[in-house]
Amino acid sequence: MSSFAVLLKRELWEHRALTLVPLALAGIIVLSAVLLSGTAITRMAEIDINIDMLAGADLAAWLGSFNGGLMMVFMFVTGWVVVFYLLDCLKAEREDRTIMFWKSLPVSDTTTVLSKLTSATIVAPLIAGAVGFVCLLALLIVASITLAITGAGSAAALWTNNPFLESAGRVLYAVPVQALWFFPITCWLLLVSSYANRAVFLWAILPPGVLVWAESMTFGTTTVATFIGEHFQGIFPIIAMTINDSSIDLASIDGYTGPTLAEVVNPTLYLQRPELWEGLVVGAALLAGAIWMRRYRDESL
Amino acid sequence: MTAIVTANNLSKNYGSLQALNDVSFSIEPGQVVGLIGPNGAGKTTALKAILGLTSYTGQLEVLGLDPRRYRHRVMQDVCFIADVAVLPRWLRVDQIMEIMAKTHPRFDPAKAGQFLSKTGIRRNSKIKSLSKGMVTQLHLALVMAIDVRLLVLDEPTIGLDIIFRKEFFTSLLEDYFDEKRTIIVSTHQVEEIQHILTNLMFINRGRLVLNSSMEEIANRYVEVSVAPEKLQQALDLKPIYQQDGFGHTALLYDGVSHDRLNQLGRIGTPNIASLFVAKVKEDAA
Repeated sequence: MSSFAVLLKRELWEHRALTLVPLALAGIIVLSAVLLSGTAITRMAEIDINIDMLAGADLAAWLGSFNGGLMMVFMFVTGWVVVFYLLDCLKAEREDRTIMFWKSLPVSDTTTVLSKLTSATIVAPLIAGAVGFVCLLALLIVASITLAITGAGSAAALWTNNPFLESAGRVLYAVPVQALWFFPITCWLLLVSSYANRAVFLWAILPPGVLVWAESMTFGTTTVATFIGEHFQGIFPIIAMTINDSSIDLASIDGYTGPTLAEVVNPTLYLQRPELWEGLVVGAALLAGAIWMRRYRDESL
Repeated sequence: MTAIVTANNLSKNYGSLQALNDVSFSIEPGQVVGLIGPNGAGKTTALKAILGLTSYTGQLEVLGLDPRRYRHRVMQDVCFIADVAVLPRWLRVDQIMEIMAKTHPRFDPAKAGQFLSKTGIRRNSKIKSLSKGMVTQLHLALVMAIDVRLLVLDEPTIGLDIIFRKEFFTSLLEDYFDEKRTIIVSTHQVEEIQHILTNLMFINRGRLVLNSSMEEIANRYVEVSVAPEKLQQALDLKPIYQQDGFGHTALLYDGVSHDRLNQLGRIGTPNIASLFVAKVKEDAA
């Protein structure tokens, strides 16, 4: 097990962007907040807001969606970093020929590829989540100081009403759920990286594009396009949309604001979706392809 | 005694190019085998087959296992430095030691530390910042700290200056080699490693043109330095190689008795490079 852990560490050593990009993002967000707070302090007389106007429950709900929104920003950015990471991770070792060193270690190709998959789908999002959480705390500190200086409300309310645990729990739930949902796309990118020596982006986009085109030309259907689209946008928007569809009459009722979070993150709804299982099967085949390539492709002389 | 490597009718094609052509050999424990051949002769292909890095036809067993199928298991007892001695440039020395320590059950970090302390390499240096010679020293220190049964070196000293090259083979012999270990080393600079070898394998255009122990070679092949007046007499004995020097001609004989050759001139052990050229010519004929 310690050998797998060191392989994960190795990925972070090689691909610094997985840690540096979330850190840079947090830096930018906190810096902007400080500048914004400076403006707020100097122009307090014109603004005239007081957060004490929000009752405890409202404030908690508001803080909850703020936490969630901030986490989504981090996950979205890391998601794109991971796309680049996946396309690079098996190509880079061939490019710089370090594969000759890695293959001299008694580590199987399956273990190696799985360590890259785990880095992309579990380690990178958890780092983004952790950095996002630290960023959240820093923002709250900035906000507290601002409130203390301007007197625009009680800083303590920001902390006592904040649903920290719930927000953290949601991230911890979303990481594996999205990892399984994105699985076919993740594995496709790994396969491209194990195969293509250059133009990985083209390789990532063209074959699926051709498949979509060929399908619509021959059968006039869009099965592949739908499959890719659904897996690309993530599970939560899809579930939110289906709940909306099935409850149109609910929407006409006054005060209905869409599905609740509890509905959207419902694991039963998630596990019932056939696309999840189709994706896992397709992903497993692509993953096997990537492992096969890592194992059996001839290293050029 | 079971062989470390056994190859039977090993062949490998790259398109129309036959990199290995029906090669058979076996390597026993305790041997230091020199795989000698010109560039493109098939040395690297043979080594890559042994290391499970390339496909082949024929039979090949390394420590009783098919290396292509069981590379990760074979690598517990086999270690190699490839000709493109590349360690990941983005790692620090202590990081690569940590990776080795946690992935290789037979790696001894203390031993690697000892070897490293003899060099100028610091633990917190990035591999990127080391010179080519230092990277090779580092790789050798890592490899020598692994208690494996077979060490494969493919042109390990290529691109190094002469001082590093000498040190490389000296430390390999003094600090590492013993009768339980086996080393296969490929090179096209024969003279440099001649003194450390127990066995020689000549490979040319994918074929094995000579495979014998240094002892057999010393018994079978004799080099004689002949003065001009005895040259015709010497040529009648059909030398396999002839090299003209100042006033004397060096002639190489295969299987001619020492007594007869003694009468022609001063006899000595053959120069491996001459022997190689002779065998390659014989192969071409």
